[in-house]
Amino acid sequence: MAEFDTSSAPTTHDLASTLKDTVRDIFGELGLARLEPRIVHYNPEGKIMIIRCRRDSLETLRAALLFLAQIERSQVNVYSLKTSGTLKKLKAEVNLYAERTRVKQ
Amino acid sequence: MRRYADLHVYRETFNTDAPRVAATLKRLDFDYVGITLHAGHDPTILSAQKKLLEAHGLDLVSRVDLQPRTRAELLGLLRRLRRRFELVAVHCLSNETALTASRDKRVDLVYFTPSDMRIRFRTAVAHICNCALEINVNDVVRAQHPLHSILNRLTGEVAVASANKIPIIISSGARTHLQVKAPRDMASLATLLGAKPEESLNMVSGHATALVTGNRRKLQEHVMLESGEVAEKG
Repeated sequence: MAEFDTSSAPTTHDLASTLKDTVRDIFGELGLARLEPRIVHYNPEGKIMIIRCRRDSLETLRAALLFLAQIERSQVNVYSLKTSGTLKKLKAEVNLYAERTRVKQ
Repeated sequence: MRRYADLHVYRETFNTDAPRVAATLKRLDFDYVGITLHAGHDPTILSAQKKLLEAHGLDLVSRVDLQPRTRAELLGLLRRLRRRFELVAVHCLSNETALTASRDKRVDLVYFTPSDMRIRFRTAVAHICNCALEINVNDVVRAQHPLHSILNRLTGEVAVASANKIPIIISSGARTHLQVKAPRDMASLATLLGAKPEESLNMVSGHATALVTGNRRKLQEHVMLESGEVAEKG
């Protein structure tokens, strides 16, 4: 589960393609093939997404997030918040996080 | 449970929407935040940031970044500033200052410009080093130099530091709220550079927090006399 901080909310397509481009730039085609990053959940309002990757490539994905600094000419900061082996648990975390944000507002 | 530290956040990061920056740092699980000042600044100007961070459950660490051009300038700055800040870091702009800063026990951290290939953390520096080597994530991510040469250089420096048992600390070096990074993401950079995963996590937690707590203890318990002797406070 990762959060992003940006002035405008990018589309899932833009996010996914920028993430793939970043992984390709740093780790090459082989790295991209090994990592297979996929955005499986995206909440533009909460600025939260769940990225799926192979377990043994988690560190590679985290490093790639460091280098993801721009989406469609707008500055962005992406950072990982939680990791889990199951989607169910992460989706529960996303809901919890969204609720907490709503309460604060 | 691990306690994470980002020991290099520039003061200007807090210029716009400071509460948001503090909230982000807390959400990212940090416990210590090192805010950087320049040699001319007084650490008391950080009182507003200290209050804000404390309200979010974060611990502010005052840090000074020295950028001396010569050995004499460095020694003068250290004499003047050592006891006023909790952390003293030296940005090495020449190999001469790199050697002097690494050897001096008053220096806590040394860091280099990754794109300047002439000045680097060499074996000769590592042999006499009494401080930690710092790697700033934003210097790597936003460097104008080709990334492969920077990663190559840093891989070499990590290997040299590890071989000589020099602690490495990874910091964000953030200047805006968009440059603040998660501790585990920063640790993954060290893994990428050849460090073991456990050691990489220590670079954002164990080594960094030990440096802060050690320095605080020294600053509280002892006072340095004019003669150079160390005496108990009170």
